[in-house]
Order: sequence, then structure tokens, then C-alpha cells
Amino acid sequence: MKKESKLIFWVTRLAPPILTFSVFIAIWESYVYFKDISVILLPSPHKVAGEFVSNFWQLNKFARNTLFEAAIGLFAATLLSLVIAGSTYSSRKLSGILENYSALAKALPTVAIYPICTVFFGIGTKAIVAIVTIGIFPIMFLYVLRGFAGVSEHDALMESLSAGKKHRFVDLVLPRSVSYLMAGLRASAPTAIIITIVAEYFGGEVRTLGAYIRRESSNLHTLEMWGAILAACVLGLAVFGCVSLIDRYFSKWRPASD
Amino acid sequence: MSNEIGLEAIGVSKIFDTPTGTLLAVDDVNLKVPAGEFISVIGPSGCGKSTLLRMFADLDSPTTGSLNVANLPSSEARIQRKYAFVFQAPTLLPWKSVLKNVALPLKIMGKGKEEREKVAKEMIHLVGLEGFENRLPWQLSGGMQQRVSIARALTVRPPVLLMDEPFGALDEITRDRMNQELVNLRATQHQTVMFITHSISEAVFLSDRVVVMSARPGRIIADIEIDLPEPRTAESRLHPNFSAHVTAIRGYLVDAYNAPQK
Ligand SMILES: Nc1ncnc2c1ncn2[C@@H]1O[C@H](COP(=O)(O)OP(=O)(O)O)[C@@H](O)[C@H]1O
Ligand SMILES: [Mg+2]
Repeated sequence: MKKESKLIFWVTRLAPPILTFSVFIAIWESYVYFKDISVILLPSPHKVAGEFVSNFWQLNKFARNTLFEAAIGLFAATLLSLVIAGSTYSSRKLSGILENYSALAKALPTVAIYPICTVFFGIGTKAIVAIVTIGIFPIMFLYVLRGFAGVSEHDALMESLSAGKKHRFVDLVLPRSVSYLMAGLRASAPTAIIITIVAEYFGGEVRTLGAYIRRESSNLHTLEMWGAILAACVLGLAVFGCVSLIDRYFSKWRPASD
Repeated sequence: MSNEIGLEAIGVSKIFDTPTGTLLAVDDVNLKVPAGEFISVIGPSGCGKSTLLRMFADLDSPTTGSLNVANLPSSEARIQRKYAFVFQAPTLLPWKSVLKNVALPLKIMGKGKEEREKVAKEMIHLVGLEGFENRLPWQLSGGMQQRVSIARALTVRPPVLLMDEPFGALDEITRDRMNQELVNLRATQHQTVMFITHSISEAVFLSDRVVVMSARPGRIIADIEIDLPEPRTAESRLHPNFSAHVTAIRGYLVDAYNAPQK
């Protein structure tokens, strides 16, 4: 019974995206082949895969640097959200104002202010981390605020126990918002990777995916560029996998059917 | 001991402001419960029982009148942790193990980990849940969860227990067993208890005294001393006084439902 449901899960959840992806690759491959497209314009998928494999260690190193910048920025934005929301959530008015600002900031293409960051932090890791923090903060903050605003019958329990602010926060408010924090992480993590690569593209440390993509594309090394793009995709998938794992860890206090 | 006050309500009324106007939930309740007494409150649903209990707990404030708990104004009693509240739902923190849930009040009081886990383990033993310390709440049945919440209430050894239909969601057999356990627990701890229930037989079995409230606005319409031999056991339910009390209270409840609504 259990085995069967697992099989159904794999077939229904995984088969459609794999199928779609395969069809996409097949069309791409045959288009390049039949139209005889030059490798400088658009390399075929199998060549991109070959490039990815042969250049794996360099791409791996660049991807790790990119991941590092994205992760630090994401971490900083999360920490900032927790600290600010943690000190304002009990005031509805203040939270409301900040919520509006964040909703506005979220709608803006934050990467566009990257040049300003470079004025303060120079071109490199510091500026990248700064722009990721700025870009992710409004997304994360909204989720955290919504999580902290939650209510349940446990509030009366805490009141009856005459719990102080610290215990209310640590023992109730924070763990109660975990599902919101996870949703925030799911929404932020891929965006953090994208912001990082775009910012690197416009001026980042040489040994990062974004800077490499720009270098290779301006040199018309299209195949190398596509190898790096594939690496960026793999990085995105890896990050998604990590977030899912964290998610699973935090869901252990709910029944499996939930 | 006997001249100390467990619970006292003096001219307590509660008016709620609702979108459709004001609502008189509790109307001029006067009640005095000596320390160590077990008192049950019974009445139609919506008559203000929970509201009265929450006011004793300082979770709601009265519109008029005042309430005392363990010889202190209710707000002071809450701050000094003179009572423990047992909710209708177990209200356990789903991310904490049974042990940590039971130890929570002591953690909030700032006790060290070793001490609070020692006391929590005693309380878990008391409610018959040893071996379940590391389970998470969802892994327990409803009855077991409510036992955990009672263990949690007992950890601070409060002089007063405020219980809002704690066994309301349990099946009849589990409820009878929990009633017996509560009686046994109190044989060693002698807290003042205010116990809210819908069940007449539960109220008679547990209580020294049963108070009947009218339909909204909640007023006390009867105050009955329960005369049953101690200690209460399964035999108590067969005692002639038991059915006499049940019958009398049923009569008052019929009146309660028929009471004019304001
Ligand atoms: N916070 C509140 N705001 C408005 N009305 C309330 C509130 N709490 C309770 N009430 C109303 O007060 C009445 C008494 O409620 P309650 O004390 O919960 O009754 P009981 O516990 O006896 O079933 C009900 O009519 C209920 O709708
Ligand atoms: Mg109620």
C-alpha cells in the first residue's frame, strides 16, 4: 500500500515536468541540427552538457562562490526580518506601516539600484551581498510579519502562565511562524540566486557564475556561456532541494497526512 | 486554611461590545469558594461559564465588580501564578515533546532545565503517561493529550485550578476514568478547583458544591452542597444521594433553559 502510493507520487508529481523538459530538449536539439545553427549562435543541448562536464570543476568553484554570496545575503535578509519584525509585531500600527513599505519595495526591480551599492561597497562580494539583502528583505519581511501576527489558543495559555515577552517569542511566536518562514524561504531562495547572478553579471568577483557568463558572452564563447547557464540551473535546483529538506525537518511535529 | 478564600466574585458582570450591540454575558455574580473546595459550574451553553472562569483567570476583565483568587485580586494572582488554567482543548505546543510541554510553566518561571524536567517527569508519572515523555502531541490520543495538559497545570503546584470543560471532548468511558484520576490527584494536593462542565453526573461525582447558571445573561440560580461519602469512587455513583443530586440539578437546569432572556 505504502509502496504503491509512493509510486503514484513519483509518477504524478515527477513525470509531467520530466516529460515537458525532455520534449523541450528534443525540440532544441533537432532545431539546431536541422537548421544547422552555428555553435556561436546557439549550441545544441548535448554540446552544452558536454561543456558542463568537461568544465565541471571550474563551474563548480564559480557556482560555490555565487552560492556563498547568495546565502550570506539571504541569511542577512532573514536575520534582519526576524529582528525588525520581532521588535514591531506587537504594535499593529507600526507593523502595518512597514508592511506597506515592504509591499512597495517588493514590487520594485531592486537589482536596478546595484550601481548605488557598488559606490558604497566597491565591485565585489560586499556589494553583491548588500544588493541580495536589499532585494530579499521585503519578500522575507512580509512572510515573517504575517507569521508573527498569527494567533491561536496558545496565546491565552501564555497569558495564564504570566509569560514574559522573551518566552512568548521564543516558545510560541517564533515556532508558530515556522510555516510562514519556510514559505518565505521558498519564495526568497531562488530569487536570491537570480539577484546574485544578475549583480555579478553587472560587476562582481571574477570567479563567480555571473561574471563568467558575461566574460564568455562578450568573447562570443557561446558554448562556455551556456555551460555556465546550465550550472546556474543546477545550482537553483540544489538550493530548491535544500529548502525542501529544511521544510521536511520542520514538519515533523505535524501528522504525516497534514 | 478553612477561613482562606480560594475564589471570590463580588458583584461581577460582563458586557461584551459586539458589532450588533452590547451583550450582557454575566450578570451580577456573587460567589465565595473557601480554599480547598471543589466547585463545579453547570449551565446552558453560551450562558457565560467560560467568561466567568476567564475573568477569574484575568484573561478577561469584568465590566463591574471584582474577583479574588487565593486571597489576591485576580490580576495579581495571575502574575504571582496562583492558579493554573486547563482549557477545553489540550492547547499543547505541537513542536514540543510531552516532557517539554509539561515543563513549560517552570521554564517560564525561570527554573533550570534539570529541576523542571525532574518535576515534569513526576507529573507525567502522576497522570500515567510515563514512557511518552519524548512523544509529540499529535502522536497521542485526545485523552492522553488532555492528561498532558493537566500534568502541565500541576507542575507549578498552584493552589487554584481553573478548568473549562477539560473532558468535554472525550468519550464517556475515558471521561469517567479521567474523573476518577482527578479525584485521586486531588486527594494528595487539595487545590481549590473551579470546574466547568455540561455533564450533571460529572459535576456531582467530582464536586463538593455545584453551582447552576441560567441561560444568558448568566446568573447563579442554584448552589448545591454535594453530600457524598469521601473518598469518591465508582461506588459513589451508586449512592442514593448521587441520583438525588442529579435529579435536583436536572430540575434546576430545566429552569435555567427556561429562564427569560434579556
Ligand atoms: N470576546 C467576546 N466577544 C463578544 N462576545 C463574547 C465574547 N466571548 C464570549 N462572548 C459571548 O458571551 C456569551 C457567553 O459565552 P461563554 O462564556 O463562552 O459561554 P459558555 O462558556 O457558558 O458556553 C456567549 O453568548 C458568547 O457568544
Ligand atoms: Mg465555554
